Amino acid sequence: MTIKHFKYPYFLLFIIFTGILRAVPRYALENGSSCILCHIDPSGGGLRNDYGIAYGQDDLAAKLPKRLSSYTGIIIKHFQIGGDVRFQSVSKKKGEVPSGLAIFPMQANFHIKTEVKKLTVLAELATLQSDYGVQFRLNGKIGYVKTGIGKPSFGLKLDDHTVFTRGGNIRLIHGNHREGMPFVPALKNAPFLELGHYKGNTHYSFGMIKGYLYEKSESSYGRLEHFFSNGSLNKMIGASFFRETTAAKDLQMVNLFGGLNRGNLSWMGEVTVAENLVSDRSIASYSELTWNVKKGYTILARIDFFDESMIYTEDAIRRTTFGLNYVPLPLVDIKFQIRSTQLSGGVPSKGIEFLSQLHLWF
Amino acid sequence: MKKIMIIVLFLTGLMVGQKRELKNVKVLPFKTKRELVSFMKTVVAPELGVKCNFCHNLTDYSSDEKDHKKVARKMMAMVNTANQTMNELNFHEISCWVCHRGNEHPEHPPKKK
Repeated sequence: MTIKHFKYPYFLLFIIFTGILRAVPRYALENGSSCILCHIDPSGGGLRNDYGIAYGQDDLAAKLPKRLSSYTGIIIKHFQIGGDVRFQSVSKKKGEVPSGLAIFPMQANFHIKTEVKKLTVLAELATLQSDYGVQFRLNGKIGYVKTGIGKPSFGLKLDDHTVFTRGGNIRLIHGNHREGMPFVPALKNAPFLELGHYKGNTHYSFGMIKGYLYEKSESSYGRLEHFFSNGSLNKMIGASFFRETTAAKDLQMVNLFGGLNRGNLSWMGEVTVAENLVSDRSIASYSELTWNVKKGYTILARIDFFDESMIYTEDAIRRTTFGLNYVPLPLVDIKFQIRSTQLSGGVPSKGIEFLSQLHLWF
Repeated sequence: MKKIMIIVLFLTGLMVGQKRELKNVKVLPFKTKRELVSFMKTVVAPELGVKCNFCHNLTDYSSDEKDHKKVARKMMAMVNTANQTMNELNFHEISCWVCHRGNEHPEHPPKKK
């Protein structure tokens, strides 16, 4: 195995993997509440609120050093500042393209938030992407209206954009027309308007976004999620849609997602069916089982599936992943994953990938 | 230029960052948000068997818009008063669990033996 830094294929990987990442929906499931429980943005991801910071310290980290126990975020008078920085390494079996080990910065996003009475202003700078986002959110008693430059809220909003229900293999490793849904990280933030409503443990939102998938596209989207608990069993169920209203292809996507959590064991899954993504219909699914072995240590097993034509015997890809998430300290998250891909029709697999990621946040 | 601005802003925050002030906290004795959030997360929510949105508007935790929050504040004042008596008697302090036992509403009347 050779170590190569920033050579051509890895520069491509750098471009591919760089992007704005989402929240961890498993935490929402375990807490039986929407993303806004821990994040400033109701759609999740980015800057954490007081609960999110406390949750990271009390419930996620293996150890809580005294010096970090009083950390409540960085506040400058009326501003809260935060950031997410990730480094990723990908290693593939020799003979594959690219082979060897690649280490690269994956994300360096910085956030700033302020509040003026009922108005929340949240800005984000994605330095590696040279992209930015900003949202103005008017908070009401039962919901919110937010507008600005951002991304649509769709599906489980997983933090791993390589799962097929989000962006999948952007480099089309297996030679298909597509190897995942269109939510690739290279998509820039775009002007949007979104309405959200909370009723008990139900949250739904509806919005419009302009120029997100394509330069002149206009899209509408909606998302509904509901959490309920039955004793020690937490359940989550939801659905979402995305419809591009102006493109010639008229892309439409429907998504169903759900999850179950009992004690240290969680399952989450989602299915997305898209019309006119490649041909008539394409399907992507995600299913993940996690076990929190002890505080700070979580192991996972995941199966992703994608079929661009829904014939199932051609062009279908199944990826199996096993991993370990280790949170040694608050503000630090380390992930190790090993995954292999199986193709339909007896096509040989592209080998085994080893991934690791260091995530620092504040 | 944007990166430099962010870095300057970040360093300024590290140097002059201050702890958050509590807003609209009238009964509980905590001085920092960290203490308050931990208390809510580890004591109030599990002892009542509820999630944060039972009492709080999740877009503004300090808001008194929800009636459950107003009730909870009075309940906490009641517990504080009870604990003054418990302290005078040199007894253990009580919390929501004494009545609620993990339920939104305490069982009433008590179960027959």
